[in-house]
Amino acid sequence: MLQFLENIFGPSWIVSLIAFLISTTVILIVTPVTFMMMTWFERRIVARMQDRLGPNRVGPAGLLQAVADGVKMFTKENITPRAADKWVHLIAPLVATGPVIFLFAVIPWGYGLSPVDINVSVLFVIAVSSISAVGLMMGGWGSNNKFALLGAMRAVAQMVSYEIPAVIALLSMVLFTGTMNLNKYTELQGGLPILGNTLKDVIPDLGLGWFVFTPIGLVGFMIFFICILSEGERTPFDIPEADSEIVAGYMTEYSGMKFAVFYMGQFLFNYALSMVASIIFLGGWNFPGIPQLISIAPPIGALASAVVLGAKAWFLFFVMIWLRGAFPRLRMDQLMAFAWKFLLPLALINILSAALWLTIMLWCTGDCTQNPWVFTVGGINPLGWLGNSPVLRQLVGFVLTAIINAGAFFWLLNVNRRPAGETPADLARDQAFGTASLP
Amino acid sequence: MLAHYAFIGVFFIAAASFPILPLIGAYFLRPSRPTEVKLDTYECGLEAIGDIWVQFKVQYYLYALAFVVFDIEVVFLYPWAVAFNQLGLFALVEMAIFLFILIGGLVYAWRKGALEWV
Repeated sequence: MLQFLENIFGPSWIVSLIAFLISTTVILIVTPVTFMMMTWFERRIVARMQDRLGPNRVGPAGLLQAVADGVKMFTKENITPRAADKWVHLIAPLVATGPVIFLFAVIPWGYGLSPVDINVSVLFVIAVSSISAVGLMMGGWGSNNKFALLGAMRAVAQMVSYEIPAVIALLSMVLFTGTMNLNKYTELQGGLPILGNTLKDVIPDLGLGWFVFTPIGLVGFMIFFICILSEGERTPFDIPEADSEIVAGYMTEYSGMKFAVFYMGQFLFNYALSMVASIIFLGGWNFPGIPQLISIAPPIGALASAVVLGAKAWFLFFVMIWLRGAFPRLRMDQLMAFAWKFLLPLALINILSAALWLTIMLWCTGDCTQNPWVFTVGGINPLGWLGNSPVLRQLVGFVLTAIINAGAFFWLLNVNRRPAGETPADLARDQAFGTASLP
Repeated sequence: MLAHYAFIGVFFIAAASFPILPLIGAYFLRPSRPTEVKLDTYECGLEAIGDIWVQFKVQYYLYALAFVVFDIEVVFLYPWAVAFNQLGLFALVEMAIFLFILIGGLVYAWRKGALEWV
């Protein structure tokens, strides 16, 4: 937007301000509408999975149900319990939701449609997305309610535990690409699966060089997606608001609009992180035909790219709903063990295999006087046989990292297996009562 | 480039005030008829029993400590990851040593049972 207006009117602070205000307004209109569509979509899809109809009366196919819900939320009484800390109780939903909206400042919506193009957008996403946990804790603490406090403790423990694998999964992609700019990720994911842009001169750009097709990206995507589920408190990780145990967790004492603000923050958090996952791992707006469309007709290409990226993000959201329809809730000990004993070691090994892949790609053969990427044994370059062909290097790297990551995956599955000699009766008792007795 | 950060500043104000607007709107639209019972702390329909400051498992704090360690590790790893191409083999080996020390810490915590939810 800024570039566009500066091209017409020339640079000036008024032009910048107008450009900023236009982008801000657009985002602040699009995000709540997205939220409303998401609530409708989730209710319809879950209903379908449970053999029900879901909301279908208000508007065509129930599309206006979200508007009706909004009206209801506006006109509901706001109950602040007598025992609650009034100010903390009031500010908590704002602290939980504000950062989520703030996330959209750096997330591009399509080709040339990014609100802002900074070099550290991945770092920005990581930093801002973890602020919400403070809001949840404030909500739980300020409500002065046992269930709310329990839910807040669980929520914070879960968010900090799953933040680490998520951040390390993103780190492996930052290492892989050498950039923290979300816009650059899409450029890097053109071309062919696995080979990426290496054969761009021979084969037309298919826009399919998504990182999810490489072993490093696949493991990173798996870890990151599971962590999104957990940080957005989606089933099977919705322990902080497990309604059969602790009513509604940290939201127990919230009603009316304050509750709706919390709810909006949660849904938009899921959407923002689905967008980030689509951009980093699923090729952004790359799709066969889109690169050509962008080069022929940029405005139509930009629109098509926004549709493709949106479709990917909505697909990830659909998978979240699908998981909600398919899986029961985990137990607290299972949840923590999964983060610390499975995802974290896997993410760390993924960093090492990303470093190995890059070493193979960067290894210098031939004249290497100024190149730090070489190590000779008795005057002989041990990896000299790689030659100058990037295709060979990529295939060698692919095979090696695939072996390492698959090995790590199955090894960790084996490490985390339940001890041998456990009878089915033990298992059933454990599943019914859990190993945890205290909160 | 600086203009981009100015946008983030503008957007920060917008994002922070955005959730406040519906709360203000609701303030004028909603009814307000508080009663004695309505303002009670909710506890499954019964009167709230005892203090809300219940005991918590010590595991929450152990996980929080482990979180701090790994979060700081990540802070060190990000600059390395971005500058990886220029740093060369030396930095790779150094970072591998750093990572293995931390993996050693994770293995130690695991063996000691700090990651168990008992």
